[in-house]
Amino acid sequence: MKTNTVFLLLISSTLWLGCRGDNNLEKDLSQSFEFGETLTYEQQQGEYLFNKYCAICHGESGKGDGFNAYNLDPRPRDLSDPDYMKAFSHERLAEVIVQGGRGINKSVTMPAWGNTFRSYQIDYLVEYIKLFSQHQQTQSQQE
Amino acid sequence: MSLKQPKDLSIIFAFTSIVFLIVSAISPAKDYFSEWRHFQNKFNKLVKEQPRRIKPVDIGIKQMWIQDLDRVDRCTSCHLGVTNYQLVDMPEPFQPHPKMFHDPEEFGCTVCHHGQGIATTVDESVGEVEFWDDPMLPQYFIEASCGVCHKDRDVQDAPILTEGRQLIQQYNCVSCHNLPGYTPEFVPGLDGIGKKTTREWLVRWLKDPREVQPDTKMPDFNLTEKEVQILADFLMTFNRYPEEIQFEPLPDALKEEWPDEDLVDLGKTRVREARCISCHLINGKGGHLATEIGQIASAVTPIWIYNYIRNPKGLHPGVPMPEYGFTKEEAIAVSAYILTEFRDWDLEEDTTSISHTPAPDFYRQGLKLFNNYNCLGCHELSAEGVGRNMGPDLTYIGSKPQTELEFGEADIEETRPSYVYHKIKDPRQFLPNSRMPDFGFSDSQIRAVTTALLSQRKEEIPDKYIVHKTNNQEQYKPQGEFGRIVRKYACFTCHVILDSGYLLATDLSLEGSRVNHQWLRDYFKIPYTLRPILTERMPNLFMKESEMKFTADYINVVFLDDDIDSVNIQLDDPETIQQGKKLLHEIYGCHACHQVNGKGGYVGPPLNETAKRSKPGWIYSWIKNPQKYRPDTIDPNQGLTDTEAKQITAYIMSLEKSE
Repeated sequence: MKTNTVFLLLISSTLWLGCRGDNNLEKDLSQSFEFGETLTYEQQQGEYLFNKYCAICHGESGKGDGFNAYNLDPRPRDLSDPDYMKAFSHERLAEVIVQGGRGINKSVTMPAWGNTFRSYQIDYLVEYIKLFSQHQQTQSQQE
Repeated sequence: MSLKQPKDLSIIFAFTSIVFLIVSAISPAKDYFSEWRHFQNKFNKLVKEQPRRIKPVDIGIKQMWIQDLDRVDRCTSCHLGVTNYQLVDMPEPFQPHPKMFHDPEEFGCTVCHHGQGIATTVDESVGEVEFWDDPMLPQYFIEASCGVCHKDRDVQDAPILTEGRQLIQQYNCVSCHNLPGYTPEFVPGLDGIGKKTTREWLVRWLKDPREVQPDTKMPDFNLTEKEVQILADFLMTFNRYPEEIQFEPLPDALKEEWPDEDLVDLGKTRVREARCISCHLINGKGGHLATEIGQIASAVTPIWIYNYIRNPKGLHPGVPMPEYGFTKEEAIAVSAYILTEFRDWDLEEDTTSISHTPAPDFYRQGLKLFNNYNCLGCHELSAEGVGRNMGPDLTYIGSKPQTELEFGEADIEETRPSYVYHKIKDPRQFLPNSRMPDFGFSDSQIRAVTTALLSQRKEEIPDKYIVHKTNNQEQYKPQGEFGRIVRKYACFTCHVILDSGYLLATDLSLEGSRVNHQWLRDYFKIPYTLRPILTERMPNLFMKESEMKFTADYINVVFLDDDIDSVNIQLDDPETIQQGKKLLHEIYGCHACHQVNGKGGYVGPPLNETAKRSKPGWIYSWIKNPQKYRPDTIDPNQGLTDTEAKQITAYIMSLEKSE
């Protein structure tokens, strides 16, 4: 059993090296322009969708300061607020996007996107949206 | 040596037995200690710990044979959770694949990810293997694999590939490289350049085009000072237009340094109405469809500007600029305004050209440079001895053997994606005699272009896998009077009709079912902005009265959809309107993006103007499913029922135009 463990460790380290070793280029490059950190494929797709569909109200940095935000009452949600966002699970955030404000008893000015996006696109969006509050949190911790 | 003693014999026998045993155990032992077996054992162990019951795997190599694509992939021997989305918390290599667009049983793995499918060890499958030419494609460029089968310019769910293909088209890569599927872009020809511009400007331009005009698509050829001077001398010799072009003499009003103020004011009004700024950048403001003209008067001679305003398609055949219907006086006024206002005020008076004497054999040397850098690839020039001098064929760059790529002295990772990426980033770094110019792309643009280029692969893929929507269809080319008008006013520069043209503004294929006839006629006269957030806006084309009538009539009877026209909606029932109002404001929140009675957002068109413009059938069909009529619209499909859509339509139609 012990040899097995050692062997597995060896394998996983080779695997790790194998995967990491030849992807330096990728590591250097896959940075978000908003966060300056490496994003997964899902997050990159989410970034594209967010900037196209959501940023006009929620703002490119998720702070609820988009171009159209000032015409809305109530203002769009600040998605970078860690205290508020930590209460939301992945499933819950997806539900909010699918059903819009109406579905969760909030302002109807947030439309329901369930018929516009496919479910995997909503997952991409959620993966990206979560970054705003995580990023905010690490920033405030550093300060 | 004696072997007769039985004791000796038995020792030898024992020894050879052991050797034989060891030898025969090697093969099963190798199998037993194989990497995949340990992954499978580990997987089965982890599966037991999962809260939900998941079937453990049978130990053994897993293999997918994709006959059509000629692939054998054994990746699932270790990647055991690829299709099981209950395993998101498992460590690699057991994680489920992110959203899969194709059934792995039908497509396999390596057709997208590359790597060695039949290998059964980590190093041989996903690692670097000598002479294996398709190592794993970095995820950063993974959309390149979509492009192998999806040959359309726009590939849904692959935004990076789509951006790359657009850039390759816009930056006219086909002028130097053979790339099937792309067409040459319009670039101004150089005949008559000596009459169009000044030598000083040409020198500044050739030195660094982006310094003169930051958004230009002309790349920087990194020419030496000497090369710049020779090329400028060479080009200035072409100061005549082909004889068929009628060049009008400069009107007297434009001969003075500062033309008459009233004339300039008229020009200013016309330029504003013609919305030149929709396509041309002027002092940092405006669109990016055409060249920046904020300093055009310092670059181009007055006679050329005047003649170009009079007859743009004569001087630049194929230019995607509309032929504005200015009268002669208006054309003089517009030229006067451009000459007075659009100057480079910082430009110091350069007197070098007065004292400049060209080198003795400047023409021969200039011609050599012109041909060497393949200037003819983009710019037409009728001169003896000019020829094309293309760069490498990029049809199959995505599968070019890595051993054939010249990395030279460059200190970079020696893989194909890295080569393409760095070639675009710093084109001259590999070989000293490289000619490729620098396009000044941002990192994300380089990524997009690299992705699109890596999708150019030579692969035997059966036709049934290939997605190519527009390949076999004939392009729509409007004929007769309508065709003449579409070409004269360059409608396809911004509009699409039946898949022809560029989708910058509205798709006009169903315009007849969409807007009222009278509204359209008025709109040609005074086009106003429907969508406040757009930068490219419909210009006033100064069309003739007869042309406006003809176009509106034609659109009204040709570009129709009977399904939209046949929708029957009760518009004047107060109860329906009341219901619609409630739905719009309290349930669907349309006012978040649209202005209603002076309140609301500024994303979509104000709804008070809709009744006059749109037909009720169109409003109904659009709000039921906006993406059906324009796939890239950000207007959400809110899943309205038929009744709801009719009620909202009735309410929108009842809104009066607020002044």
